[in-house]
Amino acid sequence: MPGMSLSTSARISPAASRPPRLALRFAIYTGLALVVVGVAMLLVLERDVETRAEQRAVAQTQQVAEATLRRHLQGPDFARPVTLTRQRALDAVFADVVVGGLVRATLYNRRGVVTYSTDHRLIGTSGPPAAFRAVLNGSPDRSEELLGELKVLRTFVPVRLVPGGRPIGGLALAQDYSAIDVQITEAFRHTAAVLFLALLALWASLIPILRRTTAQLHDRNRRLVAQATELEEALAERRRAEETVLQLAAIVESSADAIAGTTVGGKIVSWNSGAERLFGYTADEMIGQEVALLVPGDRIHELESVARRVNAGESIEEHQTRGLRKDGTEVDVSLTVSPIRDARRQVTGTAVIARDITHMKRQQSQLQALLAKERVARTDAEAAQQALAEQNERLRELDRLKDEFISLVSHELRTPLTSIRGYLELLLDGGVGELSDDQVRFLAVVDRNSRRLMHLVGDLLFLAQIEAGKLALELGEVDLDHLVEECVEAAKPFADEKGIELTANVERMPSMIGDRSRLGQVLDNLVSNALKFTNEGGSVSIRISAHDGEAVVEVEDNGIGIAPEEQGQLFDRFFRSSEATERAIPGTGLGLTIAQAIVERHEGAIEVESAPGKGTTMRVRLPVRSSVTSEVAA
Amino acid sequence: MTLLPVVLIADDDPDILELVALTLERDGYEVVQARSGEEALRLADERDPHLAVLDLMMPGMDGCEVTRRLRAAENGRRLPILILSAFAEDRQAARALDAGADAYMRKPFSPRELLAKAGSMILDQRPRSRLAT
Repeated sequence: MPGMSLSTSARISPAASRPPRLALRFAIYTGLALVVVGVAMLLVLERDVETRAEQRAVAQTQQVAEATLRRHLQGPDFARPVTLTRQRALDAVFADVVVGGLVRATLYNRRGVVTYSTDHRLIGTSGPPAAFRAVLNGSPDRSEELLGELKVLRTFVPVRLVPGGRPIGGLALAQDYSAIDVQITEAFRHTAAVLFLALLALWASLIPILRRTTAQLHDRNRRLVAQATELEEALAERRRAEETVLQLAAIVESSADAIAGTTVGGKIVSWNSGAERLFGYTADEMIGQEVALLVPGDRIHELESVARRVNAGESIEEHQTRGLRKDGTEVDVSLTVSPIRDARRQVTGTAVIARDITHMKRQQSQLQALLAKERVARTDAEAAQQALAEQNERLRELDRLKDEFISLVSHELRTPLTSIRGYLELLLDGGVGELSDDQVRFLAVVDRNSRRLMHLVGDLLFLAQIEAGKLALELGEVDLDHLVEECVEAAKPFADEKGIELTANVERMPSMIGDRSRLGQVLDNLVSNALKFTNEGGSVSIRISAHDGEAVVEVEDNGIGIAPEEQGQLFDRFFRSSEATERAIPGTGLGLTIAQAIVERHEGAIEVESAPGKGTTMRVRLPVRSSVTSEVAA
Repeated sequence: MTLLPVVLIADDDPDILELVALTLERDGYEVVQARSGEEALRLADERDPHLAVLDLMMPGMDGCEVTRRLRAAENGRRLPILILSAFAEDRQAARALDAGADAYMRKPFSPRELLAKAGSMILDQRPRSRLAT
């Protein structure tokens, strides 16, 4: 039956949705069956009809013989061949006999001799002995035979003188078979018509039954299809459910977390591999065991509280506690415990998920430690900052005090010097009387040393400014070539005095930005150094040139030179070369320190090349385009 | 007989006071000496000098304060004031000029330079006073 297949839910029979066609099909089937039955019956009836028609023909013949011919036939007609007179009389009798299609009538005597025939030629001949003998025994006989070309039905009946008496002869009537055939056909048609009507009636009466039956069948079919569909859906549902269950089981199994199910009473019913890893118990060991086995003794009260809450339907999320492993060690875990409910919402167990948070705990404590450290560090930093601020304040104050101190020291040194130099000049002017030569010579010593002291005070003050980072510049355009010329001009008398050849090799230079008087101070210092450390008859030359955006000033002498081991200290404060000390060459040891500071303040550099006994070259490099500013950076 | 220009000098150091006085007197000025700021103010009021040469750092009232007070007084407004100080730093010079001084000279000083400065400051006063009246 289509639609009953369970393999696919989509194949539902179209007939189920169209019952009239089913009924029609049934009607056609039953109709065809009835037609077959009818035809079969007709085939059976045909013979019967034929037989009955022939019997009727025999009966008719007998009747004719009984009713009509017996009155006209006489005993002698069956004794011997009739006379001509009788012959004619019998011809008349048979001519009147009303038997359909009578072709020939023949009379036989007991010996089988034809006593009369409508075919006169047969009179006196013998008839067929077999049929004749049966007829003489009282049974009529009929047979089909050909008479010439005509198919005839020959009816042979016995003729008796008295009813029930011995037949005295026989009467044979040959009828044209086609006459009987007509009868047979008519009878057959009649029968067929009756049969057809009967079957039609039967079939018609079957239709409502068929309809009802097919409707019932259809309903049943539909119900079955529906049931099948339901069943199929239920099966699919179940398959899906099974798949889901398998999937869930796989997920649970593959979870890194420990997942276990327990009964309401706390008996473990499921145990995944995560749980095996976390607690060290295998599923076989744990299933059926009490969950309390996994709880350290001092945490049992927590378990009781958790169990009470979950059994009451509450879910507990990420409860941090400690679990007990098989080996007796404890582990930090985060528990998520939820009730498992059946279809009626009754709590039937609990699902427990335990996550190993050892790592997290460690990180947390590390973080806490770090935070604590950071807090301490911050406090320290704040304290340090505070201290630094205070120190800064103190330093500023100290700085201010130092400035003030230097200023005051300078002031207090200059004040007596003022008197010394002032009165010295008054004396030397001669305004207070003539001085002897010795007096003048001695006063000159006082003068020279007071000047030196003045210089020292000035240098110290300048150095203090430099060290405080407070060397301020008065910036302007400086023509180095002019500056060099001025310097040479100023130093000329001293050079001449010492018998040193002082030359300048000056090329025209672009002007640069700088502090003219400070740069002049540098040149004066270098030239006076060169003159101081060069013996009589020596030479000092100044060269100035421009290279790659730099102005280079070189002061070269062929003086006593500087020992290599002392060259590194040349720019140190108060450093004086051993030669200078030995030869009592005057100086404070501050000149080059100051010169270097001024040059560096101009973003330049100062360097030395020297060989003892050969001479010294001091070289100053100054950028022509510098970003030098007049104020000192704070 | 010509009337000598009067120069008021103030300094707490007597040696320097005498040195300045000698220098100026030799060049023909009449010198009025004060040993303190207060005394300088009093003498300025009494003698109405043509020039004041003041030390900066004096106990009590310093040169700047004296300058301010002189400038505040009626007869001190046009008085040329020269500050003569052993402070070498520019900021001290600036402080003195801010207070109202006309010039700043560092100690130790050159007598010639002092005389030249004094002469020019007294001469300068005249056109200024004319303008003022």
